[in-house]
Amino acid sequence: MTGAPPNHDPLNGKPLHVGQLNLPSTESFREAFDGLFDRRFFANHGPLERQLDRELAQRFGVRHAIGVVNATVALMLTLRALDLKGEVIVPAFTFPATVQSVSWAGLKPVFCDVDPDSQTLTAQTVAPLIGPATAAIMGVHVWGRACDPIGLQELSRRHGLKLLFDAAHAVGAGFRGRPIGGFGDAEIFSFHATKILNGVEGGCITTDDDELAARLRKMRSFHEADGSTPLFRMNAKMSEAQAAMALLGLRDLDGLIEQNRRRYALYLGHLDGIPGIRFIDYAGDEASNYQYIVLSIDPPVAGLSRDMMLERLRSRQILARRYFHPGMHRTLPYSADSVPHLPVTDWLCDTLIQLPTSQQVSDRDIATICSTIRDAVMTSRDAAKESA
Amino acid sequence: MTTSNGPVPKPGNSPAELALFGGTPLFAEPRATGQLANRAPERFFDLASGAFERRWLTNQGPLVQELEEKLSRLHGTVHCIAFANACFALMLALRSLARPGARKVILPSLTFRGLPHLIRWAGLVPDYCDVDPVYHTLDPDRLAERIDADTAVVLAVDNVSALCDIDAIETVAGAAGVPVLLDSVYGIGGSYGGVPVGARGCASVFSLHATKLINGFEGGYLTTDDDALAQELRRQRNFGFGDDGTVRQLGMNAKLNELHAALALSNLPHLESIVADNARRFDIYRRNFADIPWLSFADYSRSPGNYCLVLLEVLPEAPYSREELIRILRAENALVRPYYSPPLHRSDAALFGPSEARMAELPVTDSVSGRFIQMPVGDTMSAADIAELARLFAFLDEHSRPILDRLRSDNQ
Repeated sequence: MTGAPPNHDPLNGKPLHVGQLNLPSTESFREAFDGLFDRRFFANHGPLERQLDRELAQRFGVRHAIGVVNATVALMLTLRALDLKGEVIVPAFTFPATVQSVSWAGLKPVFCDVDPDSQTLTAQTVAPLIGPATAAIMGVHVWGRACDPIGLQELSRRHGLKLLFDAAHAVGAGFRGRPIGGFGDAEIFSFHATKILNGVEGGCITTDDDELAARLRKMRSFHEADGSTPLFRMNAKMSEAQAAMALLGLRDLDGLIEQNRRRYALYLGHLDGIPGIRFIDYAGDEASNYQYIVLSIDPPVAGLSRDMMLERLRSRQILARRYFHPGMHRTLPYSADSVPHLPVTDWLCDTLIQLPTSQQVSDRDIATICSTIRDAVMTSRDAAKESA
Repeated sequence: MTTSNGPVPKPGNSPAELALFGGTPLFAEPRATGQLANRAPERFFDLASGAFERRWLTNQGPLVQELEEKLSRLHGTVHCIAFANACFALMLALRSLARPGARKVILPSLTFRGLPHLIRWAGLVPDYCDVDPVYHTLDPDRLAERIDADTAVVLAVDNVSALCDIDAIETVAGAAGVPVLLDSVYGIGGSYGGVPVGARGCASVFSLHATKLINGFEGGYLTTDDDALAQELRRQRNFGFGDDGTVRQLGMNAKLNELHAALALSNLPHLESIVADNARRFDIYRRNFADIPWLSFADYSRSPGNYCLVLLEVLPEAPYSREELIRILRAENALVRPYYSPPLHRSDAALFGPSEARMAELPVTDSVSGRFIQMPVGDTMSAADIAELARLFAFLDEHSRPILDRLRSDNQ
């Protein structure tokens, strides 16, 4: 028998959550916040936020990084800054922010199905949806895996469309030797506490476009009033507290990626060979942050549905999650008119499960989680055989 | 003689000693126009350490919940809903309250320059209304003239020097069936004849920005007694998620995080002493500036009593223009600003494009927006600093001729 005994309770009864929640050391937090308090600079593009913008640009290999209060607002501002009209092609297999930002920018989301392997938009899935009203494509680097950046860049160039990437999952990820951050017209990252880089909340926009960057820097606050006010400004400022946290996180980022990679490899080893369980593959030649452990469950083979598996895990205080469920095309207000046919999205929404991986998750916890999954599959398959 | 924080004493003999003309600035460190209070940093560190232990840093954590409970008690309302900042609260509330089919939001033009942008984000358009000449808040008679079938919301604003005339505004708006939303960022702590600010209109919005009374880095909140509005806004600030975790409506991320809530909670118990300090500072200003014949202060007789801004009025007989005084003061590291100037209807014609005819309908706003200076306030401003500023003004009064000659010749 592998793993822990059946009644082992991970974390002595404390539940295991998904989400990274990487925290700085008490000493470094104290030092950063003492400095902040001494300066009495709490918000309004203070020295820490300016430093963060510089460090992020360097890390992501782009000319500009523009820090903001959160990634959703970053998406809203970027779409408004591009002054678009019409439709934006988006995946429905994504977090609500991707699609809702399109609505906030006064644009119409057009849902596109994703590739079953990469789980992202590709030039192939997007091309048939491009029409006269299309203004932009917004891909999502789901699980930090690049969303066909080269194919989509070519496609958008050919049709004269803007191309954005929701890179909320992709801090520290790369594609063909280039960091995520410099693809398309702009990319948008998240520093939500559950992401690998913890700015409590927070996000940034990266771009190589000087003009777009200047516009966004104006739009993220109401500070400069020089008579050339862009439309749709907002208080989107990242506070010095958020910037302090993100700077501390950046310092640790490579170590955090390595910890995630190690846990990922452990999961991979423990889950190997369980029938009906497919593990998200972070292809070896691409840089990943390994912050998501995602499985798909094939019910006919595994003998149980994804939701039954969730129940089994939850009964052991392992709070695995359905990500994303349901697809955005099935949520209000988008589902009010009609629900487009997105078979791959629906299949992913019905079969995927996200497992805990963070500093709080020990090697022993991973063994417990994996043995719970293995036992669930084995008993379900046995029961199915008996009833047959 | 110069200390890192204290003012630099000036002999006050020659205009050349003004920082604008190359002299040493009066203040070695800038004196700001915001509160910047941080009264209990150790309490902040305790609260933050609790959040770290819980590993609960955002998504409606216990600190945000505690803050909401305390603030709803402060304002005497059923609901308090915290947001990442006051702008998101206003934007979402405008969108929720807007009368279906109507497009216009009536608001004063003499107010925060972000408001028209928020109105646009909410899918509506601004419609400026003139203000009362004494209190600078929405003039109910002008409001009654402007309100029509296309008015979606009345966005009334409480000023630091005077609360809006809520009874009259509610009467006018009520007769037209238009909801009233209050921007009460500067009304905090006041009361409308016994009812706390925050408890009138459909809802009121407040700020937890560092420059405001309760410093939460950034942050904001909305108070209301309307259960349906509260439920809708709680969903909208969190991507429209319902209690079951599925998306029920369009939303966004407007969540306040736990560290910001921690700082706000650490400062909240000190609200009374912060206000008392402000009142004391304002009193010192009034006493020290009493002898300058061409200066006055805004009429604070209807003020909420928080004195978080000191509004100095430059009277028509002043030898200096308001802008000249601002240039002189800023050079001295007193980071003063013109108060709500230019007014919104003159700030960006391309964006908001009122016609010339409409521009002419805001004469009081035009007049008021040319006269006031926001003076340095808050926790960085000592009594000695105020005395130094008064000395500087006495010097400016005494030597106005040579100073103005030099100032105006330098400009040519």
